[in-house]
Amino acid sequence: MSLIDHYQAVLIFLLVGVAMVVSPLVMLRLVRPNKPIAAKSIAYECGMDPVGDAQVCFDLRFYTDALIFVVFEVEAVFMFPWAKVYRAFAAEGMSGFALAEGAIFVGILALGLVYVWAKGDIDWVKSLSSPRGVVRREGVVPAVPELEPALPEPEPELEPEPAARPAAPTADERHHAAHASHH
Amino acid sequence: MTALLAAGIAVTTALAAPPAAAEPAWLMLIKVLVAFGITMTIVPLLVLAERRVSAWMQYRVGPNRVGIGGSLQPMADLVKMLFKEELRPDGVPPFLFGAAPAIAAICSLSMMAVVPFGGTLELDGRSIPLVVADADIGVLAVLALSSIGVYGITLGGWASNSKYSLLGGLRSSAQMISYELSLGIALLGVLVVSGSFESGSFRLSEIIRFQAESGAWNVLRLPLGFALFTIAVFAETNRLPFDLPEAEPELVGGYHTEYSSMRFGLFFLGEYAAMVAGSSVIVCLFLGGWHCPWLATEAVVGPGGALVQVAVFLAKVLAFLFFFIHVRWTLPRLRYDQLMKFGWTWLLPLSLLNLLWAGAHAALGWF
Repeated sequence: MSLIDHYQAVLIFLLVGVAMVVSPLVMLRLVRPNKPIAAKSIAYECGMDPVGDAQVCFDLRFYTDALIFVVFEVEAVFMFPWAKVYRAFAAEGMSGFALAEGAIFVGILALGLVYVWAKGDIDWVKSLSSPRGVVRREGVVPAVPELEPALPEPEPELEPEPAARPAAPTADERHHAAHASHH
Repeated sequence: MTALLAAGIAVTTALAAPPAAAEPAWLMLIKVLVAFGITMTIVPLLVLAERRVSAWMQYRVGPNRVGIGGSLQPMADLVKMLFKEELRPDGVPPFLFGAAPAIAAICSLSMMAVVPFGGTLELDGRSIPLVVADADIGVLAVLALSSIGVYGITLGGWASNSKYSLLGGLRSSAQMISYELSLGIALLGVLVVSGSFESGSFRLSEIIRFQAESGAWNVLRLPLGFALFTIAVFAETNRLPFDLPEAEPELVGGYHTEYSSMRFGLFFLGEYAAMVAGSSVIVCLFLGGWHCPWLATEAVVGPGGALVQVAVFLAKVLAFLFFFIHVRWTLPRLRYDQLMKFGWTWLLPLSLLNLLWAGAHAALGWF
């Protein structure tokens, strides 16, 4: 008795679906125009040339969300058997017992949610509302990077020797130099 | 996770139980083709209806040039998509880039396999359930396919090597997993209140039969669950007000920014097929499926009754699809933090509450 006997229809359905999806992709390749030029293969950024790769590291909050999701999803999966046998328990007059068990489980689930909620892990704008964000604002790690001072520092009286400069001057130093030459 | 559970149940039931009266392969093939035919008829109609209804709501005309009243516009769109050049940006993994839209489309098309279009047709002494696969896993298959569908969108966004696409894909994955949780838990409530009295069932056909026999649709038992499930389906199908993954004003096209030609067409098809499948599942779970009071209410019917049942089912699905379009032009798009906050701090606690309500409902033995 194989799996195929049971889910023959699903298998046929899937195969038809795959065929319907893949065939226009493959067969019409023969009739489609194919005139690649360099400009066509630039990622679309509204006319600007893209800077760097897009496959970069991204915000850790997505990861936290995924972790919370996995925890709750596992708990939800455990509820499915409960839902399946609930009617059978109710038929034997044990619905109170089944309901209490379910309620305890859901209660633990809800407690986890409350914990995550109170920790601020489900607040998307974290730096403004979570305790950790407050610490950040108090100066351990600045949540918003400090802005550079708009005006250059008062210049030193003596211009340093050009030879003493590093090979690649930083933007700040170049700014200083430009300012000095203006004088 | 649900995919794993569904696969596990499928394997264990198949190993434990003998197969149901096996149907000849030709009958199965006919049912598969009819189910696909229904889906592939509704999808172009839906695309056209969306554009015409949008126009109507915004007091403009909409597409009305191709065919009578614009009726052939979806065909024209399809031809255009089939014959456009396929572009692929630099530095893109070709296999993933090509596989992503196919995954999205196949997953949403396959959901229709477990949706019953009617009761059981009695014809020539042969009883034919009007569903492609009356599988034990039933609704779990729908959940599993919808969570695999996330891969299509997320992979597409990541593989495109474009910042807009990456943001769209990321948003989509975070949003879909957050709302999938509420979807699953709202569904649990339905499983608790319906099904035969001896044991609950994951089969959609039995859930509908229960509603038909008791004469009360599940929306009356679980009004909160209905609202939660509907909201979660809107989020799963990336429809307004939850269309953050493809928010045009911020992300150009979101995860499908870099897609052209038929690959874009597959994403498009997948999205609309997911709408059709989502509406069908909502209709089956909460709105009585093929059941309409006073009209062919028996579970086993002749050909005439079967036609009536399929017509009732399709009418409900189309009405719900109109609701989808209406909501699009009624509600504004949420901001991303509002979206996540709403999902975790409103939808999830309320769906837990709904589960307890369903338990109490079944325990007290109300209608």
